[in-house]
Amino acid sequence: MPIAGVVVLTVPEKTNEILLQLNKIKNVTTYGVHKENFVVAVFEGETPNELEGMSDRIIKTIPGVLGIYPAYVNFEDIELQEDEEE
Amino acid sequence: MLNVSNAWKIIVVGITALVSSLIISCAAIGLGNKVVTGKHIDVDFSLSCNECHIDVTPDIVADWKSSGHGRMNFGCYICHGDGEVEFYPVAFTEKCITCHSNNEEHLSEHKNRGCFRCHDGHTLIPHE
Amino acid sequence: MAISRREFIKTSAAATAAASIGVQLFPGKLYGGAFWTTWHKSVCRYCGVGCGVMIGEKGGKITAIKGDNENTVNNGHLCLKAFYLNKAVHADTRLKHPMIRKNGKLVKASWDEALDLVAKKFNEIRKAHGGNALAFYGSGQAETEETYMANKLFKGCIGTNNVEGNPRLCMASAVGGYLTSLGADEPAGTYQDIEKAKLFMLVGTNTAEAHPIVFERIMRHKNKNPDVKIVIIDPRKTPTDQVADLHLFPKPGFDLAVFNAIAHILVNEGYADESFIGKHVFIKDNEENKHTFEEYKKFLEDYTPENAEKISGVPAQDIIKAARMFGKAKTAMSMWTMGLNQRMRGVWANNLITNLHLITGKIGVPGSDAFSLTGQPNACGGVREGGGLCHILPGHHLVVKEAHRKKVAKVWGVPASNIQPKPGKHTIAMFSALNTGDIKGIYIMCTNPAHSLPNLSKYWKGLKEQFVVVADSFFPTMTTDYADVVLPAAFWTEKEGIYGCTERRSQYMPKIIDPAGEARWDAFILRDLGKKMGFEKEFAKYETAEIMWDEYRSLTKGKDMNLMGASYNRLKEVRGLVWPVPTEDHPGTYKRFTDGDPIYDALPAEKKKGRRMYFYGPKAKDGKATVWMRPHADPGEPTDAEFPIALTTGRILEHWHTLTMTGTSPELNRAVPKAYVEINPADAKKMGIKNKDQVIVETRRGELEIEARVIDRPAPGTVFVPFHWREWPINVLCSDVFDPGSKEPEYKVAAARIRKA
Ligand code: SF4
Repeated sequence: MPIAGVVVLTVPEKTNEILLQLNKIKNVTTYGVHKENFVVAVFEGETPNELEGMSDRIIKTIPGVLGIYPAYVNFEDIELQEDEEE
Repeated sequence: MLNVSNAWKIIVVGITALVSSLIISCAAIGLGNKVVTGKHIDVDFSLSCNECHIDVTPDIVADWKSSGHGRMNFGCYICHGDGEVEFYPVAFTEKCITCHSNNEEHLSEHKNRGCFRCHDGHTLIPHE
Repeated sequence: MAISRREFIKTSAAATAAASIGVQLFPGKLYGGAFWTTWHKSVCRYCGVGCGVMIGEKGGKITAIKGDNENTVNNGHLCLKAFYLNKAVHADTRLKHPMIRKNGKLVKASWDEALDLVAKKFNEIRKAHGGNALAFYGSGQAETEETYMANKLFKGCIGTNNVEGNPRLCMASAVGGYLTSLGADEPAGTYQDIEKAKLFMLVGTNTAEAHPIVFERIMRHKNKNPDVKIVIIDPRKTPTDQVADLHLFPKPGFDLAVFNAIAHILVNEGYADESFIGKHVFIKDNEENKHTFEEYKKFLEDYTPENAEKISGVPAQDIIKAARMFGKAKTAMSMWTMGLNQRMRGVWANNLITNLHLITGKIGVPGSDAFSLTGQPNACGGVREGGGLCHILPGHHLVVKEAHRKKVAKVWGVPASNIQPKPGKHTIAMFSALNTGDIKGIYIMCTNPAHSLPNLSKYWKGLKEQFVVVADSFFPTMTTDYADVVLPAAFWTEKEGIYGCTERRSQYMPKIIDPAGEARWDAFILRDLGKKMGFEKEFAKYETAEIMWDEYRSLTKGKDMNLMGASYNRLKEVRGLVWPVPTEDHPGTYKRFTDGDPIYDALPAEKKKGRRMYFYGPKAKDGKATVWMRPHADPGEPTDAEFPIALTTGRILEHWHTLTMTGTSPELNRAVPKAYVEINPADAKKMGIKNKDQVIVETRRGELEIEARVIDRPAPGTVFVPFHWREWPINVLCSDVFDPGSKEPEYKVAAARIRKA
């Protein structure tokens, strides 16, 4: 089950609102606002794709989110697949 | 700005560009090709790699010698391990990054496929 | 509170994400955790180049090393040795507890037991025979703070100047050279000159193997700029030759004539910069009498290229070519290491190289410098600057000067009378005095003299007979074989402190993990030993490394090596600072003695009038450097009919000194598993020796059975053996004659013969 540590980059005025929104999402744990407009969060999912989908959704649905940057992903029990089609 | 979808595969290399801290994270898992370990055939391990390989794989030794590694005399063991305690028949990117850490970004530009997708393993010359 | 594995991973993930934007999420936590690596900026443990490294720590272990991109010394690149440093940190050979010799055997002891014994023994010796019956022998690999503590204990408290270190065996001639030529120790330029130089003259240095990152910078610079030329003067072809345009092969020890012959050509063919000489230079002979330029020219008349060829074996044409290349090049940088320093006339050799720069004015401008490469990572910082030799005190102070003794004693909080006005025993004299029993107790820190001294077996006697304390991170070594007490020292990454490299750059190294086993930081061991010896008050205040550094720094105020602007806080942020750096807002100094050097800039205008450099060092007069009329001198042991071959020794790329560190890496052991003697194919043919034959190398001091490597590296008549392995201790064969000025022994030349085993 993958776990990802991410940094959510936000529009400064909206940071606190975004933090509240993120807290409502299942499988997201937040770790506070840092350097004004970064939210540190952890995403949990069943598959790497799910994590990716989650971040896509957040960017699309929560206004003021500029980007989500994973810094650490743990894929315990899940082989990292090399996708050859690229 | 990073393409978010891509970022999931790149995992960490891209973000280090944003990093101002001295303590940077490095989840190097997934960087480049996989680590393959193996067992070197039993030989006289009191010899250095080159002493045999110059005879058994002269072409490879010549390729290596022509490379930047060869010129600096950075030997087989630097990618392949000492052969006795550790042996990596296939070199892997994580090892490259130790010395070439200033190429991490360059690697990420190339979609994280590992250094040897482009660089020949022994001459180190980039090929198509 | 127990947390689940899942929670743990989540916390790790969050902390890593936070770290990526420079935020420490859980402050106060020392270790990164079991699942991710935290990276810390530090400095390579090995050579004097001083490369910046990033050290990866995971779960309380050092797991990875990589080059530090932001460090201007190496721009992220590393050489082989550094790559495997993490293996040394956690090696099986790490010494984890103190040991005391009982009934001939070293047995485990507690710290109290060990230190009490050392304190008692040292005090007994001091009482019965005086402070001069004790000695300290340190290292260019120790941190500045460590050497500082040793200096205070021995020179300031015990009251003996018998404080030496292995830089005597490696750098002393360069110190003597700089002091006599430029008036102040250490080079005027920095590595920045490399990318601006048009010509490199590499003398007695196998840069490619001994200073690989400097070589890499030279190689890159030359690749980009094909007009850059490289001249090598060395009796041996080395991997450095890959970039050479011209190689001069003098017989080992016979190169002084070559340097004078190069000067002869420069002067006679109009390459001398007489206006620079007139304003910036005195010309002196060995008796320090001043001479005119015309007299210097006359002195050089003896050194025609033809005469130099007769003495050195270097073809006259090559000497002329080298001189013209040097003269024509717009800028020139010469570099040298042990090939010049480890010589009976090492100081003279240093002077003669610097002469070439002074007579052509190729100094004090970007791309031109006489640049000595240091062997060890903190020989410059800790020992030359830190005062870790028998005649000096911290911060470029001298024991013979009363004002200096008073100043240092005041900072140390000891009576000035404690510091003796006469220099103590230099390294060879020190180990000889152990043999004779004049020294009865010695404290050896972070070095392995029972393996590394020249004419080695001669000095084992004293080590066996006297009371020997060894503080080291690794065990066993040849020196611990003779130890009565062995103290486990914290290793690199287990302690904080400062290293100062070749280019006057001081860099900070953090403590990242706890010391292995019961190991302790050397500076604290010395502090605690001091307390136990009765100097409770004198050592009370040294609670942290920073306190020691700040005290040391205060002694550099107003000196040529001003470090007042290099506080721990600042050094923790930046990639080192190049002194003089007088204030916290000063960026450090690229070129000394000229514009941009804060000391030069502060000089009154009339002093600088009409000149572009002012040599303000303690040994210079009127701001002038010195061109020395040094005659040629033969080595201490020239070859003869009985011993017709010149033996020279040195280092190789893959290994370091006595293998305590590089020997812990299986990769490096595989790279070069054993010692060998390099023999020129022509010589080998004459002697009927084939590659890989076992041969016996013999000098007047002993013989050694070793494998032959028939290879076109040493010039005919010369053989080379690396000194790293205890199984093949070539230093037994080396000569211990030393330079009368620098007291540095002549490792580089011994008369030898070879036969098949
Ligand atoms: S060149 Fe010297 S300082 Fe740099 S990585 Fe190699 S051994 Fe370390």
